[in-house]
Amino acid sequence: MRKVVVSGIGILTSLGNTIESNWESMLNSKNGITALDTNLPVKVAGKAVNFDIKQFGVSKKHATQMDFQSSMLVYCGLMALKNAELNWPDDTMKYSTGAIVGVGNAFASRYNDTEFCKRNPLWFLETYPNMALGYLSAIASLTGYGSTNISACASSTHSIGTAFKLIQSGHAKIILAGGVEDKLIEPVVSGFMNLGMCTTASNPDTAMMPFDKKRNGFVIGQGACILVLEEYQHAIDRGIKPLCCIVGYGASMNAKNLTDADREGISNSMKMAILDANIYPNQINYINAHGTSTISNDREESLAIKNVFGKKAYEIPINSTKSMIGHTFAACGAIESAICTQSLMHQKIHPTRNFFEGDNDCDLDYVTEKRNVSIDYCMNNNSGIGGFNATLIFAKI
Amino acid sequence: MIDQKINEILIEVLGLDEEEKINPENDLIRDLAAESIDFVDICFRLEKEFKLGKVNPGNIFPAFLEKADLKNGIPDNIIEQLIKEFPHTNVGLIDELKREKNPRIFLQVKNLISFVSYKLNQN
Repeated sequence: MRKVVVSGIGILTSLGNTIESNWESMLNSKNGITALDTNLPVKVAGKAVNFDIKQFGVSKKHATQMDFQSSMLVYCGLMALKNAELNWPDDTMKYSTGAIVGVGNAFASRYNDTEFCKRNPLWFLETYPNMALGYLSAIASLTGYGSTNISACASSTHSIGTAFKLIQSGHAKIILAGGVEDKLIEPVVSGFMNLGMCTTASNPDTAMMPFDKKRNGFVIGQGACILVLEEYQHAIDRGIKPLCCIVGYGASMNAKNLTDADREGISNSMKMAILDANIYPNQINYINAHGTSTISNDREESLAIKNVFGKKAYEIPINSTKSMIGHTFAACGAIESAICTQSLMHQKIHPTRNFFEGDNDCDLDYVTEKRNVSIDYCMNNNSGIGGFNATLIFAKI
Repeated sequence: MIDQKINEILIEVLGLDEEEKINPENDLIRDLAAESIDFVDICFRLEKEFKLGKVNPGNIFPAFLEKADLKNGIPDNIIEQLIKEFPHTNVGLIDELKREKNPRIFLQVKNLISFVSYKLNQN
């Protein structure tokens, strides 16, 4: 089996449009969530910062044609390629570069106010969730394996896991893996409000409170992230210094409720990833939790961690990246994986904003100040509506 | 006026630079890099701009000529089909086809101009 590494990152969140700016902000507990001045039924959101795809030579035609989600994904894909020192079309075609991307709904919402018969015929293409990857493939000349995953908030985690397995088994050398989502549109916001998942909080500073006993739902965040996954020797032969290794992938379904998190399902995913990585549970030094700030997820995830790690669970530092940028859904697994790479590289963990006091279930070590930690292996957990769970394990080079 | 409006549509749909000079002889595919989905978009914008009613790429571009062998001249039946199904080509494009024996002239910008002019005259 081949060793698989991360050799580049492109990321876009409410805290920045580079991995460096995101990492620096997160270490310093900056808040990316801001007040919204719209007619939407939520008052706060993690809006993506500005980004410029034209710097990468994207044609005016593509730049004008793409919707916001596609633009976010293309930005991250091209940034990741640049970060991995891969140029396009030459390198991407030479290495038959693939891409697996987690996506969510595709509502073509910018046409909402136009009658069907009066819409530009191109609107229909935007209803295809794989169109964002279609654009990235066309722009970056990605000719290898290509697919999109739809498993709600575990989508990009599954994408990275699948890419990892394809490279590990020798089916590909380089795959861009990640996800994108912009749910800051009326039908989705209303849907989440009706399901009681979104916070009704209006103070952007304290709206996200993962694992805290006062948590009452998540803040919607826009985001995208792509990791370049590459076979280790291939990266070395190209003269690249990999950022970290990816060593384990687990996935499970709850097979119970459609919207409730489930400790058993989450446990199964974590256990499978640990087995896949061929390590012992006590070798995990840090968990980047799904930590959505909902009553259900944070309780079930904490209980699952206790189930898998036993007493050791209380010694593992845990944080929630979502505490600063909100919930980015299909993109969150990739964003949090990118943060895992930084934690491994810098041997530091960013704090969880607004964790003040847990409860009987949420009583683990949720990091509240940036912390220096010796990390050999770290775990990233994600779960999604429909009862899907996915776990990745990253390791120091 | 029609030329100018069509140029504006092409600039918008094909993401061309505004200062880029589009001329009637430009081949939409070879010179302006249009792909099939762009033809749908162009037709949609022609409909709206000139209030033409429903327009399909198949109304403007005689796809049946793609497979025709015209090296030894243009058979009468092809001319008849063009006049019948693509009457906008009967202004000058058919004469040019007879001279040049190259069906790519229908992919040039001037075919769009001919089509719009013909439709507006009809109205």
